[in-house]
Amino acid sequence: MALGSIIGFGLVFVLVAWSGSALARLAMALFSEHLKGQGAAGEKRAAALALVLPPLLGIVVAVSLAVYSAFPGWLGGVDHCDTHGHHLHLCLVHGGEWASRSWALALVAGLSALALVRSAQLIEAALRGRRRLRTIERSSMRIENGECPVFRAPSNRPFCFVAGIRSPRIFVASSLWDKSSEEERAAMLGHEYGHIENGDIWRSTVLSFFALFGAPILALHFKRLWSDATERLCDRMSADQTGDSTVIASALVNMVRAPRLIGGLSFIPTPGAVESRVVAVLTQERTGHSLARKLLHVSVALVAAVTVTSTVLADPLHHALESLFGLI
Amino acid sequence: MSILWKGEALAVRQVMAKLKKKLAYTTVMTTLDRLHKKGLLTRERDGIAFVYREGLSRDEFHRKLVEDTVGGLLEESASSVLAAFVDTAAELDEDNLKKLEALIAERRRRK
Repeated sequence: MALGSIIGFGLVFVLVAWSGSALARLAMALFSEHLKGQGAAGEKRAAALALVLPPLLGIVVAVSLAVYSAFPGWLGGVDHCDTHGHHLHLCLVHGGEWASRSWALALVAGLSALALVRSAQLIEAALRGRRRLRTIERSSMRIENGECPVFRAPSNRPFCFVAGIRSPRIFVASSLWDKSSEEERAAMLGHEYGHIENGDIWRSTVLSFFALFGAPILALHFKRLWSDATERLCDRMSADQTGDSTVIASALVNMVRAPRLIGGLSFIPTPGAVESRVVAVLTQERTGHSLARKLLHVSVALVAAVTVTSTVLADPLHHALESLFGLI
Repeated sequence: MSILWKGEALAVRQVMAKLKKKLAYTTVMTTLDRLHKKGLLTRERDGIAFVYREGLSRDEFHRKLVEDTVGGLLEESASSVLAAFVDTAAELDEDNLKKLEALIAERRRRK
């Protein structure tokens, strides 16, 4: 096997993954109104699939073509590499010359290095996050036990979050906890329990990993859409649990007001999604679970179709891609 | 910090005497100096030596520690390790906030 040939298949992966991200963005733009009308769970699933599917399909196509190039006789093809010399071949056996194409080498090696560095940063951030959580926990008071303990952390800055994949814990700033009514506390905790029930923390970690391989800006956009829809869904779950959507809405507004009352402190850049969350929870938007199920079925069918197509049509597909790359 | 949180102003040797573990004079002095530079202790001259006093109470210390740590955590891992109830930097102008509050009040009245 020629080591340089991996660069050719790396290009196939990048082409499929990035154009997949672009198509997903286009589809979401076209159907944005429909998606919003269907509810948060549908939007959340659509954003997650927009992150996961493009790299997954990139792997499927690249692997199908790589297998075909190694065993062309399987599907009635022939080893054609000696018969045409006008461009480089997508071939595991004869594709070593890709290493001499500086643009291809730079693109694939650069993106691989970037993905490796970002993966390492994600792991490091997760480990540092665990240490930080232990520090916060040591300074906090446990106010509720059970499967997911709740900690009241001494802080003038308002925050409320759930953290931990294996043993989730909820942390609430003392200033926020003390100022909130019983109903608002229940609504905030209901929201965090929603994250736990939906497995949002581990899902977010997996999606962050997939985001490394999608088209750069689009992947971040999908991740943001996923986060916003996730929050709206948990607001809705909390409202259903407490039976009063105005409580969670007022808790959200109080939370946005709180940093100003206390001195304008803030932690992270703004997405400005609070307004749409308040409106969504008050207007009782649909949950969107049925759309989420449909999207999952369609995606499974799509992956199966692409797998079969790229295997059965490996011969013309790999010629087409060779010609396309030959133009560059 | 636990020794100084008892409220006394102590010199390096006095801190050493209260430590359970025996440490070198220079180690304790350097540690106190660093805590002073971080703003956790205050100090004043007493002859040729410094005497140290708490700069932050135990509660203030824990509050500062939590605020700094949560700040770093939220900044870094907006990505993955946690899910926050609300982005605490979410900025809405006063008009919008009032509109939202009016909307909430209207919903409550309708009930």
